[in-house]
Amino acid sequence: MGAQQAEESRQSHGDGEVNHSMAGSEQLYIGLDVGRTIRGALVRADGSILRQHRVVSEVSNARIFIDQLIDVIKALRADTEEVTAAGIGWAGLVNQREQRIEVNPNLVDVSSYDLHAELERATGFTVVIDNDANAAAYGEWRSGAARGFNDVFYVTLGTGIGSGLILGGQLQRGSRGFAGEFGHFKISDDGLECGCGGTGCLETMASGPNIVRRVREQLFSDPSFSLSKLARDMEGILTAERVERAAIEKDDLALSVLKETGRILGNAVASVINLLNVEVVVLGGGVMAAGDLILEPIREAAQRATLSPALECCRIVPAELGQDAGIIGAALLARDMRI
Amino acid sequence: MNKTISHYELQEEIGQGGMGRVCKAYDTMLDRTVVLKLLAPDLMSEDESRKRFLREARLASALDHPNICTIYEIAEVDNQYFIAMQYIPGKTLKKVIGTKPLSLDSVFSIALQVGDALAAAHAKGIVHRDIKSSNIIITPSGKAKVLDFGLAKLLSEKGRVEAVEAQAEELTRLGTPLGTPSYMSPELANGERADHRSDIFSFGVVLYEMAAGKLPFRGQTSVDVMHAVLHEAHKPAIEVNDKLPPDMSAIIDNAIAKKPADRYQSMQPMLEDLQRLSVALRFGAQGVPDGLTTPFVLPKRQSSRGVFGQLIRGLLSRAPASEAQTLQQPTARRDASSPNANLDAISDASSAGASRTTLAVLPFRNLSGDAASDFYALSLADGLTTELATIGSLSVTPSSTVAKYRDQAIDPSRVRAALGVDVVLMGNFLKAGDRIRVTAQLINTSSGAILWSEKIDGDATDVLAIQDRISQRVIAGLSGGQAPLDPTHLLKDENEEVRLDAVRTLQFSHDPRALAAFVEGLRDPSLRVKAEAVEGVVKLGEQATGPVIRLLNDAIDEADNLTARYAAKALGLIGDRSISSVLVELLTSEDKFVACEAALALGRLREVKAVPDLIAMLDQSNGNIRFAAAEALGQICDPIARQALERRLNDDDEGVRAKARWALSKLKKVASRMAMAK
Repeated sequence: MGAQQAEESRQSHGDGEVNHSMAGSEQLYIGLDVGRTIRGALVRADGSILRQHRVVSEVSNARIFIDQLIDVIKALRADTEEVTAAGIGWAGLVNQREQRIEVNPNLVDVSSYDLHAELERATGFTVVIDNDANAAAYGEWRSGAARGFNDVFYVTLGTGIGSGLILGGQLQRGSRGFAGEFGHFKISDDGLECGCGGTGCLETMASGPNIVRRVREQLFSDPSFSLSKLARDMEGILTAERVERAAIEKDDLALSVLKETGRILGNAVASVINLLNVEVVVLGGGVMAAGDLILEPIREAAQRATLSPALECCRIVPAELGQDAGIIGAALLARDMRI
Repeated sequence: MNKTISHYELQEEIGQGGMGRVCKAYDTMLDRTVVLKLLAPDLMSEDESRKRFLREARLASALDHPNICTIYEIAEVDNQYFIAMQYIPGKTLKKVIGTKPLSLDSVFSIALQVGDALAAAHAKGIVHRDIKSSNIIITPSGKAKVLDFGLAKLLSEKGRVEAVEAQAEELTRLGTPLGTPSYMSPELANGERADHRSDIFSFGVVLYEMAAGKLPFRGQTSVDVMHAVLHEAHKPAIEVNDKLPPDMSAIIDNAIAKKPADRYQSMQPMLEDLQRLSVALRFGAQGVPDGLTTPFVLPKRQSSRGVFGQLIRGLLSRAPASEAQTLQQPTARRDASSPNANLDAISDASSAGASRTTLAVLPFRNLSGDAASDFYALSLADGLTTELATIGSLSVTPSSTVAKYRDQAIDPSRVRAALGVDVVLMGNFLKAGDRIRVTAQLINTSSGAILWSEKIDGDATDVLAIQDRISQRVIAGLSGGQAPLDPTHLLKDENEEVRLDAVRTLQFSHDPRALAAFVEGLRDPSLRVKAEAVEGVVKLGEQATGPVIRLLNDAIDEADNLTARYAAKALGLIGDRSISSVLVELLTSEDKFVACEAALALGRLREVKAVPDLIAMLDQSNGNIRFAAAEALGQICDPIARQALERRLNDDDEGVRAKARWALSKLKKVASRMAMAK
């Protein structure tokens, strides 16, 4: 764990009661959500969280980073014998067949390590690695807003934009596990360069950092926004969370950018609904903290751009598990894949 | 009634029927009277029909047309769905008609307005389905407004018969889609799918009703009426009203043909026939000379009506053809001794002076922000068009063609490209109480020169007098008999909208006074005027650099931060490379926004010599500065900035992180291109 700050907390999700004591002989699973922060939880088979642990990722050194993962798993396992498997949701492209990280745009490059083998060796139990959005989609499907649906499109809007797809009651990963890269939907030919190497990806407009970027650009292109409350904060540190808060406080600049973000996202969501005829679109991730201020523009744009029959049998709803979707989903993936 | 729904205070119930209650209400947020339709709960109980209705109604609410009642909002509070719409004082056309035919002038005026509204809606794929005389309101000024676009289908799907009896006839009322089958097209009466041609049929019935004072299909009961609609031939309108022009009766017959395929196939040709007939009748002809399908040409015989018609004819006939150069430098070279200087310029705008000068009167812009005054926009333009069209030497574009320019910032050169006119008459109006101020300008579309401009004050309650007065002033202005108003004077007007419009108009002119006006505009207390002044300065390009730098220096001295910022922005957008050293100096300006604008400008100029200063800016504590520096470095793409940008990938500010990532990806692309080139 090195010098990184660690934090533990206990909370519950799913149908289970909050239970701070160890749960007898029931099967437990560890779920990890790996991004700029490593968030882990000990999760019951019903999806409720027993214990959480979190460290800030060490993004400059692959070896230290892998050790952090092992430490988090061990800390969660502690003296619990009932843990039989761990699932990891990883912010990058995961080769599902070979359980290998292929593209890792926002984290340290671990491609020279056999991460999967190393984690199983160090922990002594089954480890399943999947894309973080797939894990979160699985969590929402099994234990959140998409419970009971067979055809689900889950989108996570945060530092990046990812998605998970459940069709016919099966999580879809594509031939190698790279499916669902919604953030890299190309929305324009001459758009901004993206971290993936392409241009005009959805992520370059609608991810958290790009929302902040557009807020700053908007301020520069239209100086009349310099009278907005948010503009006064912009000399310091600006985050997507701050923009969302400002929008909730009815700040014109924040509202204007969020509305446009919703329009862009809604158009992209409409394409997916038209393509896949899903029953429900679940929207999660930090950006959704703005609630209806982002959800409504998404719905409006999606309604305009979706074919009527497909729209009429599709709901667009916010996620229910919040930030825990990834860790719960990763744990439940470990549960189900192990079985 | 003291109930409040959302931000609407219900004032009085004005009707009740199949769709629900209709109330006059007060919008406390926007401080205006509206009409609320509170939809009956059972109408919205089925999820699918509710969704479909809401989609359709929202689509209809996007219709922005002077003759369509605006839907402001469709919302739900505590399961109560309601529609908020424009409050229109007036009477239903049904009441206006009563039992007698309307005058031909009124028939054409209303028909052209309603027809234009239908054409606009059909162009957006919206069919009304319930056009009838009680769904059209005529305001006291004679403006027609069509109600309830997009609302009829809900009732028809529910099989509801509307039995609204509005307590106040002059207010917006509920639709009655199935209650009065007299207007219903045969295909609707048969329960078949109805398209826009169904509206054409209903519109034809309304035309018949206006022209004949009676409905074409009548009966004792609804079943009788529907039988007549489906199976009986109507009596031609001319047989009911022998004063009706035969061509009008023919237009109606075409519209109310039983089979959709036998009617006008869209509103546009019907509208054009109505327009041709209207104009022909104004000139005393008994019909359109070569039949309705012949393109309309202004008749040789000129109208004797109107003092300005005679004035313009007289002036045009005196216009010499040798002063084409006046157009090039209208202000400097205008010969004040020539009474016809402006007129000559217009006359000569046509290639050899022999053909007719083409002119379009554009809709006037409403600067009042008061929707109730909107009708002046088209009525002023329409009146002037009608008058000027009587002049043989002028070819005037019909009002219906220029209506699309309503509420737009207009570039006369674009109007020239679209309409092929030599000059445009355009302007704005500002209504305050009973007074109205109209500012009109005559602009050469080729050179952008303002040939004449004047501000006219009048009594808003007498539209015709205002129109007359403006026409006379326009004519006097055309003849050079009026001293043209310095357009920059408008920048001193106390009303922000007037100043804003003045700057926008100057952007499209080539008036030599524009630069000073824009620099003045940069100092304007209104940020909107400042922003438009920036646009103006940028259009003028490098000739504006010096005055803007002087303004920037003055503003910095006076600690007028906003003016300094806008001046810096303007300077940056001009793109004048010769001032890059000035911009580098501004990077250290105490005003951080000025520094940011300078950084962005240097980025746009790809100014490599600024890179060290920009790299230093990346470490400043101000987030805006770091962001602007990253943006500029991304534009310049100097590999020397790579490490500094990489550090910003961990910036606490998410926007700076995103911008640094973008800048680095640009650097990477340039590097790989260079590697390939090697």
